[in-house]
Order: sequence, then structure tokens, then C-alpha cells
Amino acid sequence: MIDNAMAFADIGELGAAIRAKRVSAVELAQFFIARLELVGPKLNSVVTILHDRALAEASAADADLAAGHDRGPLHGIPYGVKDLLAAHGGPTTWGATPYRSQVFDKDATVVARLHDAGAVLLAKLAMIELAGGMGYNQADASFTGPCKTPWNTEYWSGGSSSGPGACVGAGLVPFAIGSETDGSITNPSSYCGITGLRPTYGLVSRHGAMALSWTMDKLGPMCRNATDAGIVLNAIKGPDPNDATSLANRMTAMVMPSGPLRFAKVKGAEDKCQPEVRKNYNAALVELAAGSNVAEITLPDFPYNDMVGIIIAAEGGAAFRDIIDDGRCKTLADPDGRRGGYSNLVAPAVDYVDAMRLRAPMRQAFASIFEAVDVLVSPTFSTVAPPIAVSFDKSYPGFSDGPLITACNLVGIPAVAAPSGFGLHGLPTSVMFVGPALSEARLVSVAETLQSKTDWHRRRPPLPA
Amino acid sequence: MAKHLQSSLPAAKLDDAMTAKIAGDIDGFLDSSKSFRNRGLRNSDEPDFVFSPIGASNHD
Repeated sequence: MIDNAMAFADIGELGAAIRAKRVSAVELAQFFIARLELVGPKLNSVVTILHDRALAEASAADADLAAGHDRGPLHGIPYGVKDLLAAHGGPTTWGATPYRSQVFDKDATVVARLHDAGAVLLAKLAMIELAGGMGYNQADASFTGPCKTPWNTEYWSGGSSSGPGACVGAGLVPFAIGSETDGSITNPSSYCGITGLRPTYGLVSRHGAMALSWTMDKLGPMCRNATDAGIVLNAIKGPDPNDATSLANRMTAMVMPSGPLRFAKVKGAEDKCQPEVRKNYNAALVELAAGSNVAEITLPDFPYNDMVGIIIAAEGGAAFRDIIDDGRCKTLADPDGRRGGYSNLVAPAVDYVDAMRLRAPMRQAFASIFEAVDVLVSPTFSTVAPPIAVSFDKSYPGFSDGPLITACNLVGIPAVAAPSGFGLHGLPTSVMFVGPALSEARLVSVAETLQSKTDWHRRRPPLPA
Repeated sequence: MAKHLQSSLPAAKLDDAMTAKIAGDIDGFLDSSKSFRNRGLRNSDEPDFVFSPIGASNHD
């Protein structure tokens, strides 16, 4: 019998329990599958549980360990993936009605790498349909229904990596893989009180993942804490001949800065935040940079929202042209998503090219910032999770997010989002650390420092009724 | 353009109400064009993507 406290153990604790023979990989898989079956439907966070595959991988992990073959820190550790990653053993639905029966007889590169690292895939997890690529303005934007944050089930989990956020937050899987084009890892990590890492563009292969935007999509870990995020990233990063955008090995090691880190706030980032978000953000800054000077930078002037809008419209319109042309997109759950594809088909090509032309000077402008700054710090989102019953544009009038997440996604630089406390309705708040390309080790280290001084990441939500 | 989509995509069965909403969405795109017109890009500013005659995966 496994103690329920094990549901919120981190990767190191679970691995130690396996190696000490207090629990086997098979028992661990069965324990988390039972939680996915019990709690998953209450949160609308699970699409498919891969019973046979999970037990086969767990049995193999136990046999390997018994034979003295230890694959490392993820050996025997269960996990889930956003249902846009191909994995044999079940359908890959992309969260969308037109693809509910889609099956790929292969594993995405990240799934294959986690298999090689000894991890055990338990389930495909809920997501916003097509990762929000056709647009959405409500939580109910997936054929699995509105995904709920475990902290208060009247409120949204965030998206588009909804299931990974909710399942990690509720202790249904120890970690999960999500994707981000423009906020889809950081947003549910913030709303579900977990630690999410959006890697540098190209650091993690996207082979076998649904494409929304070829020039912006990233895959990354969503975990209990920053240390776990670093462990998972190490297992999945690296070049892949099947993904032409994956970075070569020589580019994946970055030296940590010597001396104290130079932190900077982003001017205006807290101006339109809920008071609790702002208070928790400033408390996190005090923990991290006590006694040192925190600079303030102004984001370079670029039309971030128009750029990301035209890029996702043009690339997403091409990626999903088949279901736009034949009308299947009209079966999507969100009314905005049902028609968004049609205007995407006529997105001005010249504007798309100009947006791509602006990405080079934008990259140079951010490189200049990081000559004087090691880590940018900002509230991850300006509010706690919005209520499920209210459309996003009406949920928290007067508060709005700054352009940092969109800017960093356009530039392709990494971020770690970590819990910073709680706000309205008992919902989590989050702080975000951003660094230059390939600074993931630095950002994980900063988040680890925060988590060594606070216990927000160890708080547990109530089991949903 | 919305009317053109309505007639050129018969399988999509776009009714007049949806076509009107699509026209509004297209107007939104055209409004955002101003952002790009005003940036003063020069002929020499290249887009941040590269065509390769040997295929990108052949680069190391």
C-alpha cells in the first residue's frame, strides 16, 4: 500500500523509494493510474490512460533495475504528456474533435528519449484544441471539456497545456511534458501552482509533436519543482536529425555567470497585476536578491502582439488547412476557434514576412539587454486563474498581462515559471525568470534558490469532491 | 475576401452570418498591417528564415 503523500513526492524522492525497494515501478504506475482514474475526470484533465504500455514500461524498468541496469534519475518514474505528442498505444487527439480517432504508430522523440531514460508513460493529457491555434476565448475549448485547476475547481487550469498543469498540480503524475507557442507552458504552470520550463527554441526536438507554428513551437517539462524540471530537460534535450530546427550539441552547454547574478525587473510588468500577484512577486524578488541592486529594464519597442498574431495565423492556417477547407474546424468546441481558421487563410503574406524580418532586430535587442542583465524577473501572469463560467475577456477587467511572454516566445529564449504564493479564491500566483538563449541551467538554479527559501511549491491542493 | 472564401470553399458550408464574422476578423488583420508599415524596414532586412537547397537537416 502506497502512502497518499507519495502522490506529491518529487522525482528524487520517488527514485530513492524505488532504489530502496520501498516501492516498485509497477506499483508506482498502478498508484498514479488509480489517481488519474479517480481524480482526472473531476478535473477534465485526462484524455487516454495507456494501461498496457504503462505496465509494460514499468515492468521493464523493474527488471532492468533488478539486473543492475540503472538508467538514471527518471528510471521507473511515471509521467504524462500533452495529447499533441505521438505515442504508440493510444490515440493522439490534439484535443480536437476532428482528430479524436487519430493514431500514430510511433513515439515522438521526447517520448522515445524518456523511454530510454527509464520513465513510464501513463497517460495522454488534456489540452486546448489545436493548442489554441484557431483562437479561443473560454475554458471550454477542448472536446474533453473545461480543464480545472485542482486548487479550486470553479476555475480554469490554464492552457493550452491544460492537462499537464492540472495533473501535476493534483498529484496525478509526478511530471508532464507540455508545449508552448505563446504561453502554453507558463500559463497552466502559473494557474496550477507548479514549476514549468519553456526551453530555448530548438533545444528540444519537436519530431512527433503537432505543429501549430513551426517557427515558435517548443516542448518542455512541467514539474513539482525546479530541480525536477532540470532533470527532465536533461533527458529530452539535444539534437535530432528528424527535427531540422533542433540545435546542435555544441550549442547546448552554457556557462553559469561568475559572481552574483544581476537581476532586472521589467518596467511596467506589475502595473496591471492583481494586488496579491504584485505582492507575491515582490516578496519573491526580496528572497532572491536581498541586499543586491535590482535593475529595471524597458522592453524594446516592437509590435509584439501583431507579430505573434500574424505568425500564428499564417503558420497555423497552413498547418490546419485541411480541416479549415472542408469545414471540420466548425466542430471545434470554442466559437472563436470554429471560425478563426478562415481569416487565417487570407492573413496578409507581406505582413507575415515583415513580422519574420522584425525577429532578427528583436533578437539583437534582447541580446543587448542580456549583456547587462543575467535574469529578468516578472510576474508570470497578471491574475490568478479565471473562472470557468466567464469568457476570458470578461473575467478580470482592468488587469492585463504585459508583452514579456509573447516577446520571449518570438525571440525563442527560455523561461522558468515558479509558484510565488496564493491570491484571490485560494488560487496560486507565479513568478517568471527569463534568460538569454540556452540559459536554462541558470534559470533552474534561480528557481531552486527561491524554492530553497519558500515552500509554495510544496503546498498541496485539496482532493476535488 | 470573406465572400470569396464562402464561394471557394463549398465543403466548409459557410453561412452568411459566419461569413460576416469572418469579414470582421479579416478587418482586424488589415488594421494590424499598420504596425508593419510603420517599422521602416529596409530592402536589406531579411526575414528570419532561410531556404536551403540541400535541406536544413543536412546542416550541422
